Amino acid sequence: MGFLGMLTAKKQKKKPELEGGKDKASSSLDKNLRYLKDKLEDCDDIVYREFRVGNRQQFRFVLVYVDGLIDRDMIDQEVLNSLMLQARQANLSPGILTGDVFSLALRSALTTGEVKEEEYIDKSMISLLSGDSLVLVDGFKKVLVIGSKGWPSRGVQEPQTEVVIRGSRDGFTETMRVNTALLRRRLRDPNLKIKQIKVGVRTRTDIAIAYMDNIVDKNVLEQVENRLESINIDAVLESGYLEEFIEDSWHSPFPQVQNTERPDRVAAALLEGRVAIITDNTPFVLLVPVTLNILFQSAEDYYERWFIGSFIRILRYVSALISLVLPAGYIAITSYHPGLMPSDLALYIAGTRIGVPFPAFLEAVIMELTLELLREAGVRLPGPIGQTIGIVGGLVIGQAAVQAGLVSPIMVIVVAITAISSFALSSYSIGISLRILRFALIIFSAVLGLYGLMLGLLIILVHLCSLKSFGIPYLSPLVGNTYYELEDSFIRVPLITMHRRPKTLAGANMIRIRNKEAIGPFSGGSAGVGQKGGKAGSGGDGEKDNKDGSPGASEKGGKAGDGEGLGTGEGEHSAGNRKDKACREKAGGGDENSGRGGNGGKDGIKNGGGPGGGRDTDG
Amino acid sequence: MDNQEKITSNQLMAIMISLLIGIGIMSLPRTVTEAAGPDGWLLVPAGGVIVIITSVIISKLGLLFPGKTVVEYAGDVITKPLGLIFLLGLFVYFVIFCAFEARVLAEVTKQFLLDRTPTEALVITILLACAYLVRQDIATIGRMGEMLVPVFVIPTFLFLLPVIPQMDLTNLLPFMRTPPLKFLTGIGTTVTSFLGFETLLLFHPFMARPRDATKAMVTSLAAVTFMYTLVVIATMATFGMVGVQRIIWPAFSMYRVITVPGAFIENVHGVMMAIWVVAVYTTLAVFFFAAVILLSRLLGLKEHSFIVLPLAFLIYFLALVPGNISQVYSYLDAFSVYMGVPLCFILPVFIFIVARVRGMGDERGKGHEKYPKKGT
Repeated sequence: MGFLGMLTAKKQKKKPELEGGKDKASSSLDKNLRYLKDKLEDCDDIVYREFRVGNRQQFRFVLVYVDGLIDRDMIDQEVLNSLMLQARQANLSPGILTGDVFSLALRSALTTGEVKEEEYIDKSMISLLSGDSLVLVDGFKKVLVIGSKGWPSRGVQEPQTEVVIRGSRDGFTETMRVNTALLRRRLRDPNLKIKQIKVGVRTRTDIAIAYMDNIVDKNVLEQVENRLESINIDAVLESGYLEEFIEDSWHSPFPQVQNTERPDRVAAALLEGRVAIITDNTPFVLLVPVTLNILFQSAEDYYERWFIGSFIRILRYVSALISLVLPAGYIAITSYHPGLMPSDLALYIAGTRIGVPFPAFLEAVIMELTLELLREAGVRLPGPIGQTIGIVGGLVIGQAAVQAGLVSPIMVIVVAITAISSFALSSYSIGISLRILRFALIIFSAVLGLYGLMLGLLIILVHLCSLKSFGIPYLSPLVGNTYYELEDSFIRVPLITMHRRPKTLAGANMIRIRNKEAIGPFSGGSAGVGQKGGKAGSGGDGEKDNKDGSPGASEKGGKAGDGEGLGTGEGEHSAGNRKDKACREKAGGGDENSGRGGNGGKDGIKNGGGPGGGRDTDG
Repeated sequence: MDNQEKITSNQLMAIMISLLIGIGIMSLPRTVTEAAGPDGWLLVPAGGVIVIITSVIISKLGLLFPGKTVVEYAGDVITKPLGLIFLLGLFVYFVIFCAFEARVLAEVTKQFLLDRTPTEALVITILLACAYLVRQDIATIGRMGEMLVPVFVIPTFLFLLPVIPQMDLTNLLPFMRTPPLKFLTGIGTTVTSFLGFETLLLFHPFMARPRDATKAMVTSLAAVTFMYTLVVIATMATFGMVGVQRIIWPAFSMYRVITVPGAFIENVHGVMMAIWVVAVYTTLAVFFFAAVILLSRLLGLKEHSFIVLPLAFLIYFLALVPGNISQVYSYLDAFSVYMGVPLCFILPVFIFIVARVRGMGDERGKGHEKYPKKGT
């Protein structure tokens, strides 16, 4: 915590070099222009366009922008065209024009959406450098700042690092505005707040803090804001810079901040009460706080049926364990405690190791290092060559090494299984942590066998227990008093039973699902009974759903229960689509949303007496 | 005083269970059989009841002095010099107990896992690993407990199942033939395997809701008693009265006779050994932590972390004092009876009685907030 203390101690008010606000604009156009040209000397990408406005061409205007950062069509059409041509056509008396040409230009002539007036010239220069255009008017003490950002950027594409079989295919991009839009598309709730700050004295990177106002834990939010504002760094080129500054413990091998490229994941996180930090120029959005459990979740777990989701969860935990201890355990057992194995197996392993010149420890380290090398080489090389590396690696390392008698075949299998397991994890960052710790454990077990392995694991566990992310214990919900959250840990229970938000993360509005039981008829029993039950029991609900969504559901016979469930889902989905269209046509379409939006609304109202009541916070 | 994060009552329970299950359980069947023959297993629940009563008294004592450890109130209750002697005794007791734990762990590991590794290496490694935990705060230890208790409680019960066919319950006969006096002295030695609960004297103010301590103590001690009883019965039934007395660690040897057909690991005792290392680790760490907290409070230190390593080396040297395993056990028996029983049973009860007689403390626990902040 010493490091953190330092951070908070260093906390300053607004940094002037970051925001500007020192030098006021002068009323002389030439002076302002000189200021800009002076400051931006040798910046050849800045364009100054001088022109005259008015029916007698009596007002001098200068348009300044950074070439390439602006939408040139828009500037041509909405600024130059409007001011130079259309404004001239308006038959205004000279008196009005001389009186306040500035506000006239601001209110009547500029046909763009985002215009503001700025008193400070240095402040407007910073806007200029971030893609806005400036219009300087002779004789007026203010600068018009026109929002004209438009630079070549990558479109919304499928995220590379978090591929899903089922789920949305859009991923964040390098442009922060697009990213916030992707979030807003998913959460049409006034409670979604997006606060912007700038970090980095040189880069002046835009950072947006997004959270759900009525769900977020205010303590966490405050900490996030404080820590971000305390950062005093010259450049933020990627969200990783921020991550290192705001995490609780920088000497830990475990990631204490989650990063993701998926908007749906961020939306889900915000709905759990977490805070998202969107950084300009990177598609990786940070999510805090994070627990170990969250790093094992994947967006898809919630989109597939819960059996599958749960199975995959368990698989991931097992693979994490394998990736951490398998080589170390193999070394411990083969070199120290062969007696623990069944005798046949022990003899077999001893047989394969005949002629291998290295002890198991060296063998494992060599193989693991080779594998890491292969992985790194494969990542850095362009696609086609990368595959070659894979083949060469597979052949040389696997077969040739075994045939040459340098390593035992079982060691190759152990290393391979370990590698596969470490790649099966849903989060790349946790996979890397485990990979590093694996080497530590290999050393532990090489020195002290099973005993050393246990000690190594205990030390890792102690570290995990002491770790916190923004005040939340890293191992929750396994520790602490909120055991109900285990419903979303090793397994993922059906959504219909996940009524409450995780208490460790969310601050208020704990209820997220108000349906007490499945809407479709009970799906148990034999097929015939199920069908009958479905017809008798479902009543209005089922009927309506069928009309809405899947017309075939009632005929599905044997699968009555499942069919109805499906019908419900589709019903909602189509309602969502309708809402979508309505929204696009008119802003008022939002009134219609009867489904989830309605729930959200109720959330807000009921909160006072509801079971939320605010999170008890620790000291 | 050091401002530590509070623990929940679940975490206190976890700490207590992981603290009590340590080196004691491995030799417990031998100890009770030596004391009361075939009735030895009855000593365990009897001892458990005494321990539970004492722990309830200790938690009541803690409620009398809200927010204070025994270090702060012992001097007030039984005069400064007496209090200081008691506290120093308690400190020495904690340190020596740590030394025994480390030594026995090293000896068992040497016998079953690493027969050629020097004892010194095993002792120093476990102590350093513990030091890492002790440098953290109590909440971390609480979370460790929460994570680890299932790890060693579930397999202990689970691996009892394959023992069942080997058991012969007639080994527990004749029933209730022990003379009462012998039985009573037997209880005296049995309670020593429950040593550790007295750390509540120090941990009480760290509770988020100190009132829950009593319930947590009773629950955890009852659970441990139940587990001890089962293990003792199983061991005695497996080896018989004479067999048990001839084995140094009978409970451990019991798990050696298990073979699980078709399993990858032929000898379950390897797994049990690994789990037991974890159990002793937590025991050692909590005792160590208690010693560190006691000393740092006694010296009025703000931070406890920097006295951990010097203390670890002190424990290391103490652990190497006994020459061999039989010496370890003869020292341990004498130590538990002559130091453990007075310090953990007699004196705390004495302090409680004196405090009540002198009308000291906050009798109704008014000092406690009714709904204090919850720990996480």
